[in-house]
Amino acid sequence: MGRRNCLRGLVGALLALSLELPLGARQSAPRITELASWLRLFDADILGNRAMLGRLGAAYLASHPHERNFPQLSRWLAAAGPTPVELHLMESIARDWAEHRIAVVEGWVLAQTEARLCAALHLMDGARA
Amino acid sequence: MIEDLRDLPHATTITAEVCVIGAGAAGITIARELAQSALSVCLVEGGGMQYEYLESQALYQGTNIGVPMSLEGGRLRFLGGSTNHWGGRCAPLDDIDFRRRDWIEHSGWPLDRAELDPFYLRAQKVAGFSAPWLSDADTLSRLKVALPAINQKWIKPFLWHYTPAMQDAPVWKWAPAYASELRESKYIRTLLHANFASISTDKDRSRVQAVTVRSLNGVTATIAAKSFVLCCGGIENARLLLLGAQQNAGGFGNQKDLVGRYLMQHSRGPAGLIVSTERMSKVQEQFNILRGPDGLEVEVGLTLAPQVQEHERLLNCSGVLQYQGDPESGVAAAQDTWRALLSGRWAPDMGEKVGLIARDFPAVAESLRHRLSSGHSLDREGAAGVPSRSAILLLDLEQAPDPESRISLGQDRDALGLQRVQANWRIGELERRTAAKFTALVAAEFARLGIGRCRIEPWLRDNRVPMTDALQETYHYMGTTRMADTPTEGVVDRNCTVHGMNNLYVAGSSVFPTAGQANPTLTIVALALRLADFIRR
Repeated sequence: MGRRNCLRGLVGALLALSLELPLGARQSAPRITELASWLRLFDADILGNRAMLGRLGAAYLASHPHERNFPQLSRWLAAAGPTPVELHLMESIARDWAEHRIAVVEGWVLAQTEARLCAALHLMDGARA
Repeated sequence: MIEDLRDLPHATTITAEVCVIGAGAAGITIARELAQSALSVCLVEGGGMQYEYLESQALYQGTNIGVPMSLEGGRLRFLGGSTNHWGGRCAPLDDIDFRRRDWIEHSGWPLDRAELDPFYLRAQKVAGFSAPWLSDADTLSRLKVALPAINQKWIKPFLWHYTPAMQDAPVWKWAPAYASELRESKYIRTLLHANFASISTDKDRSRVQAVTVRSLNGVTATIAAKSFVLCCGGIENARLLLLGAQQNAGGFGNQKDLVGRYLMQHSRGPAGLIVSTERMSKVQEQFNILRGPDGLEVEVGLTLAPQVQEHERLLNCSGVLQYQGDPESGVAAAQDTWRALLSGRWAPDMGEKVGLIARDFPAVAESLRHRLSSGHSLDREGAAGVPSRSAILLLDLEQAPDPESRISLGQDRDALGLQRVQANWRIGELERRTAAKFTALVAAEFARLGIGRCRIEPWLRDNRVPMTDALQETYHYMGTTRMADTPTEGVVDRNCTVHGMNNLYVAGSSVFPTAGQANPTLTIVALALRLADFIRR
């Protein structure tokens, strides 16, 4: 699966799941919709396909069990504010790198935001399965 | 003159103002310097003019009870010593390496970098550089290299200079370079196949009177001198002091049982794989072994910033990139084709390779142009111009001084009846923590700059993986006769005089209290020049 297909899958799954969330969590749904446009740019080629991203997400959650909470992850990833989600995430990842907020997942060095994106993907896949 | 002890009459007595034991980088440097001041020197070398296993090298056998290391292969016992496998890579130690770092026990030199700087400058000439090095900025400018905007709060670019004397050879041997000078010198009497046999002192064991050497066929000579300098390398210097103390019932800097302790090496190993979706051509022109005009050859890598070392309580560390050829590139196809033609074969997939070469012809032409202009052969691995999508981050790690990491005298005896060495080299967890932090910082910076993504090696993310699975020794033996202002902390003082002895000195990396990350040869030579100045005063 190519990068864009993989990311579209990730975005689609995020959106689908957001509709199934309780009201409180659904409040972030518009932000998650915005997430889609950024995710098309998310460079996942190196990290592999959707299954690989999900596997990284599972590994991340195994070492960060307190983050196994999709609504919370969604709020972190698409925090409310005037900044478009796309820009917000790009800035968030850039800040992660600049401030050395990283997660080492199966050896891959990820920005913390990237690791949480993978975690969200894993939770969505789990919810759909 | 150069003589062979085996050709001299038995029990010859030689007198000189200075007896230098060991004719490697340190010994040759000191002998030449003293000769320039018209001081007579007897330069004693255990081996001959070239590698001889039974006649010399086998005397380096020993036992090892620690981390695997090669007591025989790591050092060479003939004129030129271990320069006979020296790769010519030079760099000074960093400022921080000399400091007392409260987070590293037993760290701190009794001198600072500024004190050594004038000697580093002189050492460049001894190491084969025809002109003093330019500043890093000027060097990069001359190479027409602009480095990416790395956050130098974390990691810093670092430059190693390769001696131009190598002229494309894999090593630069000092013996051929300096043999004619030694042969013609009026002041240096070089004695080959002259192995240390015994050392004698005055009554209070504070002054060496003579050293007796012996060839393997039984010819002996006794050298009487005003001063004696041990220049036999990081293992043998300690062994000779231990033997001296044994033969003289004490002394020789070992009053506090420090001789042989704090054995260190730089550990080298892969830390991670940097991968990119694009070819890393730009990075390859920045972080690589680069050549400029007038024999300028420099390797550009990265080191851990001093403030990170201090804040995170880590050791020093550096890394270079080793590029892995893209197997699907036209350049790789050209390389394969070239190798096949050189070996007289016709590769079965030659048609496919010709297609790849045609597809990537501009890159192939550029690579060929680069190779021809740089003088690198077409199949030299890792050189600039070979397109790659991945690179290994290869580390050189400082090792923390550990008194239990040591060499001592073993039970076995050599052909001269002297106890062989026993090594117990140890590496600690601070080295792993340093490597992990440095690698993570490089990974974050490379990701931030869009260079590539890094996958860290298992030994840096799982403490259960033995470090020795990844790390290799570098043959940089250091620390076993460490320098300190007091005999309770070191074997030699700031002038490399053995504590408690008036006329016995030690030169070489064995006097380094800490190792830094830089290759030791330039510092060995700088300290040797400084010691020569001290002796002639």
